[in-house]
Amino acid sequence: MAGWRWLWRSALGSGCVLAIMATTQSAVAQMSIDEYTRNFVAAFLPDKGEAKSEEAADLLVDFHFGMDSTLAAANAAFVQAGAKSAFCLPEGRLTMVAMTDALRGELVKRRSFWERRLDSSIGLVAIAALKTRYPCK
Amino acid sequence: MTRLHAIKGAAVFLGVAVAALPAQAQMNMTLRLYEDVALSEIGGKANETLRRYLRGMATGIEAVMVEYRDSRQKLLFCLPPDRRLDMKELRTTIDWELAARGADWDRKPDVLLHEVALEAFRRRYPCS
Repeated sequence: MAGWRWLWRSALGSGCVLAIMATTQSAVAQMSIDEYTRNFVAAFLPDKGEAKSEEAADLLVDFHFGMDSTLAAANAAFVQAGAKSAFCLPEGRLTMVAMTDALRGELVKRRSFWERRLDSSIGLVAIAALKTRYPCK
Repeated sequence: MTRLHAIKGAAVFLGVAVAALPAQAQMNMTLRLYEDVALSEIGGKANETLRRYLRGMATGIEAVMVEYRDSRQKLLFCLPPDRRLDMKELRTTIDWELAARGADWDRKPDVLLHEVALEAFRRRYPCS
């Protein structure tokens, strides 16, 4: 695999792989509140007679793995660069259970606010939730 | 009942779903794993898990960036106004970093992909 890795990176440097990637990938935007909640309902709260969507559940779990670890790491990196921390995680870590619970709390507490912003990124809800749940003292 | 209201009692399901995953399913997206999956993508076979993970990463980085930009804090990087921090931008920036400094990252075999990504954004889009 080492040889393949070298070849891969050489190709990255030449730009040809990026050109291939560009043709196979669209610029997928952040997940909106609308899309997140739609998948959440499909995965865990389907209409009567409808099965829970495993695909939606898989999507949410994969997405959370990426978002949650990155939120904590990105926040730490910005703080290291000189920003004043917006939230302070216990032991600097964020588990998916803690994140989903904080998200639920934020969406329920400020439901009317977020319902007017369904096209906004779920990441904004996550930040608001973390600021409320884990304020810096 | 609105969708957001329905979520009130349901977030616990996602927590339960996660807790039920075997320990090895707790995904640590290392740089090595990313490159292995990216290599397998060349043939056109997209890896949906990787795409979803990267979408989560892009969402997380942008959310933090917006928070600190809006509160006029010092920023880690400054994305040009004509760029959006979407999945394509994320992958392009990670691959830009690997093309330039892949050998340096090889000295950290277990480095996580988000660490590489954050450093890549810092180098590629410095705030001048």
